[in-house]
Amino acid sequence: MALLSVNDLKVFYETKKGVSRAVDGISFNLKEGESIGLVGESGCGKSTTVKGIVRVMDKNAFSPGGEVKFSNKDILKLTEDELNQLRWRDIAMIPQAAMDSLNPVYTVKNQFLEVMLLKGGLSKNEALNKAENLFKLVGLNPQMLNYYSHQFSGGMKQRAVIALALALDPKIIIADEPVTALDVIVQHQILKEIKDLRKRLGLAMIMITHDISVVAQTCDNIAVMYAGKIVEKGSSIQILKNAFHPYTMGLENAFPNLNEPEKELISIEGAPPSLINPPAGCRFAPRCPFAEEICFKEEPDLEELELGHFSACIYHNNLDQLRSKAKEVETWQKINI
Amino acid sequence: MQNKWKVIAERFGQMLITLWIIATILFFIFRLMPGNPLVAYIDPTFTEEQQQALMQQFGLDKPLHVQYFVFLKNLVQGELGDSFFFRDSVTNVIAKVLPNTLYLMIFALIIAYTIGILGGILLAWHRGEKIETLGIILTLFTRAAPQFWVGMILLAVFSFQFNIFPSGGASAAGQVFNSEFDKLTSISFYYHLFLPALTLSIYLLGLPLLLMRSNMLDIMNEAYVDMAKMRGLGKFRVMFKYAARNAFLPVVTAMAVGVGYAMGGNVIIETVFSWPGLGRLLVKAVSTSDYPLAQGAFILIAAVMVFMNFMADIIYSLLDPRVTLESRR
Amino acid sequence: MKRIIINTFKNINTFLKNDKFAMVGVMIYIFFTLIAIFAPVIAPYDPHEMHREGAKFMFNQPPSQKFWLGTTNMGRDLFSQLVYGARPALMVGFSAAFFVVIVGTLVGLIAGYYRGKVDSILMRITDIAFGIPFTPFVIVLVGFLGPSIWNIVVAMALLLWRDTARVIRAQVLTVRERSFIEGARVSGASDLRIIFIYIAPNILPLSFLYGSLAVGWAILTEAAVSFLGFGDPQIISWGYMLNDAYVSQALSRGAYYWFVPPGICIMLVVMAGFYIGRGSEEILHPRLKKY
Repeated sequence: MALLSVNDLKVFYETKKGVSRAVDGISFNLKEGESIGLVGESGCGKSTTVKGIVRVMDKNAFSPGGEVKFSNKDILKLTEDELNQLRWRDIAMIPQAAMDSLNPVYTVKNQFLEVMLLKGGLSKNEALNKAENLFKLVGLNPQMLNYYSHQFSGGMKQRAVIALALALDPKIIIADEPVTALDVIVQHQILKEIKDLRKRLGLAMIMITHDISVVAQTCDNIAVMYAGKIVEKGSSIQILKNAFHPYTMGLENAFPNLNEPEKELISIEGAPPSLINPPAGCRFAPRCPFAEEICFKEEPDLEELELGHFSACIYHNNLDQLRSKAKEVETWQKINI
Repeated sequence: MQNKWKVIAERFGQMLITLWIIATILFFIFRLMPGNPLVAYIDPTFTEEQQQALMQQFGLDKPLHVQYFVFLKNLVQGELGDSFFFRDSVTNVIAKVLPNTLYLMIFALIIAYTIGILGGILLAWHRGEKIETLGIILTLFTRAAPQFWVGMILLAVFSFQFNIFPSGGASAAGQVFNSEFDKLTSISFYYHLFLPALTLSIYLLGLPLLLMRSNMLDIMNEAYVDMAKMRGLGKFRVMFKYAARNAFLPVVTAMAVGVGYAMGGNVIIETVFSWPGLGRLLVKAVSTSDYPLAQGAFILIAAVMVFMNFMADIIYSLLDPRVTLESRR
Repeated sequence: MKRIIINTFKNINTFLKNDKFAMVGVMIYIFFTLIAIFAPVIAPYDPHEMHREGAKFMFNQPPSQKFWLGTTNMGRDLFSQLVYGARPALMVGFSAAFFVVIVGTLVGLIAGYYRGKVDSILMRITDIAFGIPFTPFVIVLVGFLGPSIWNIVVAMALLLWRDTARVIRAQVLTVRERSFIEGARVSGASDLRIIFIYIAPNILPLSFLYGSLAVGWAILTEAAVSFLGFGDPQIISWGYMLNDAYVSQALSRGAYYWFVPPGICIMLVVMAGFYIGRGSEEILHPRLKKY
């Protein structure tokens, strides 16, 4: 029984030029204590997906379809008040490190107490105690609760917002690029922190990142997104060892791998298509080195090629050959865009 | 903290220099003006000797630079000379009307900034909807309409046509207030204050409203506003504590500009409503060529403006923990 | 050089096309400019003429076929006054705006380009100009220099340049860092050449927009000064009409036909400047653009 189940979720933006299909039918499940990584380039709809799940969306965004079930409640059908009941208490979020996610004119303590008193129903003393404990838990001096956000360094700020995410003992944590913009050493510390906390507290997590090596370290499952759709999903081991989709192969080339630190990095040429009237066929086809004529005409469905491992690509056989070709730089330079 | 005080002191010094330069400019404008400055004072029946005696009395027989230093020395002591028209010291004349101007200004500012800030929040929250367009057009109307004309229309409608409010002055005919306290606790005073304060606040409304709106639009793109929504804190808490509280800071600074506008706007509105204040006094002084009085009134208005600018800097740095005074320079 | 000028105009042109507000603003300007130019043709009477019917003066006439907006307490035709009033309004507005744009742009260009000491001196002067209360200053200056329309323009021009100077300076500071300026400097262009040929065209649209705002402020201030009785007594302006109405008890008589129309005219012209200026919001803050 899944804790969170997302079925065919759509989030579109109303723009001047037309409707942008930013998230175009996404499905995945998340069990209690499990973690899933949403991976893809920026603009592929990862962040919009999680915003769609907790329904904190931009004014011009709307959901024409889909279902998000959280312990048998359909989130899309809840009222704003019911949503506010659920937010942070059940689903909390660790935002991007680079973003100013704390109100700059109040102390961090103020923001801890606010959410704990208002939504957690704790007394002021209990809340203060808990906040101090959480700060210790993420390795910060409880004295720093009195700081304003600008007084923290990047890594400390990220620890503080992790502590804040844990304030109400949520069941699910959404981590949106939690280590982007931090330097590499701090990145590793924070990721380890998140991993340990998750194990200790039995938290389920959705991790959003453009860096496939980050999810490799932290997540049980991976869903690879491209242009508003999931193109491949499965367990982390399946995907990292046995990628089925050329885009996933490309992503693996683009980031350093812990097992092969000397590996040459290859980037995927070109840019994702416009999501307003996206082209027919597979959305990745124009950038895909293995694209055939049919790829530009018909959109492949997600198919389960091995137990729990799905891919939306016409290639079902001879994947080993494809994978070894995908490791060569020349392959990716051949595409004409 | 030590450093903060140092910067405040430095700012204060800059303020004094600005004031000194403004006073100097003013001094030379008045002295280099064509015509005899005593023209308003001098009766055609005055003899040559009497005129000379008068020149001496006002120190106008001395060379310009001597006059200038006497002027500065007196200014520092708060001594602004004698009014030709009232035959009284300028300080006394101004002190009598200054409270009225301050009441008018403070009430108008409170109304304008309350409505302006709330209106700005509302318009930002309804970005892209019809209510926003309507609000902006209405606000532009208030900015474009001459404030004395708005006052005239309010007078014609509410005072002359429907007889709801008095047509001018600060008190009913024959009514005398024994003290400022008496005045402030008298209903009649507020009854007289209403229309001029309304006119002035209509004039002042646009700045805080438009500024608040555009700041809100900027702030609402900030991650911490989205994060507050994620925390399920409720619409109003997000709107006020997260978005508005941060958008509010530049509006505080603009309040100083607002005081400047109010002081300038006062001059005309007080005249329309015969409000016995500093602005009306200035107009009267100019039209009767009473230059010591005009000079005193003008310096005071400028001083209030410059001082409010200084205050705005200080208040801003107190409200926003990120801002140190140095970084704003 | 030619291309730069053409580009500037192209920018302004596309900007007007894309912005309905700015378009409306320009239309209003054109409308009132035409009225000002053809005032003698449009106005049915001499605005100073005191009308009479037989021996009886036509005092305080309400609007009629003969007097579209009625007459003043001295029997003068209000519609004719309103039409002629467009002349001083536009004259004051545009000439004040002209000085404001020239002075403000020059100060901004020089301060922003040379930076350092020149910049701090010019900006201190700007600060002081900001410390001087605008309306009282104009009143004092005009009151003592004597009531004439040019004194009003001079008094306003002495202060109003301050806003333009600050904005232009900030803009110049960013423009001067662009690579084509560096290129010009390397190729040995003189300072003056860089300022006027390379930088100026980039900030001209901004000057133009601040000029349009200055037109509005100038017209409002002229009206206020005239209303207070410091205006040119020989010239009938909208402010003069309102002053006339106020002192002639038009308010207590409920002669709305007298004091409402001049205010609306002032408001329209000032609004036109704002509309053009509002368009600037979209140029200056492109992220505020609607999706």
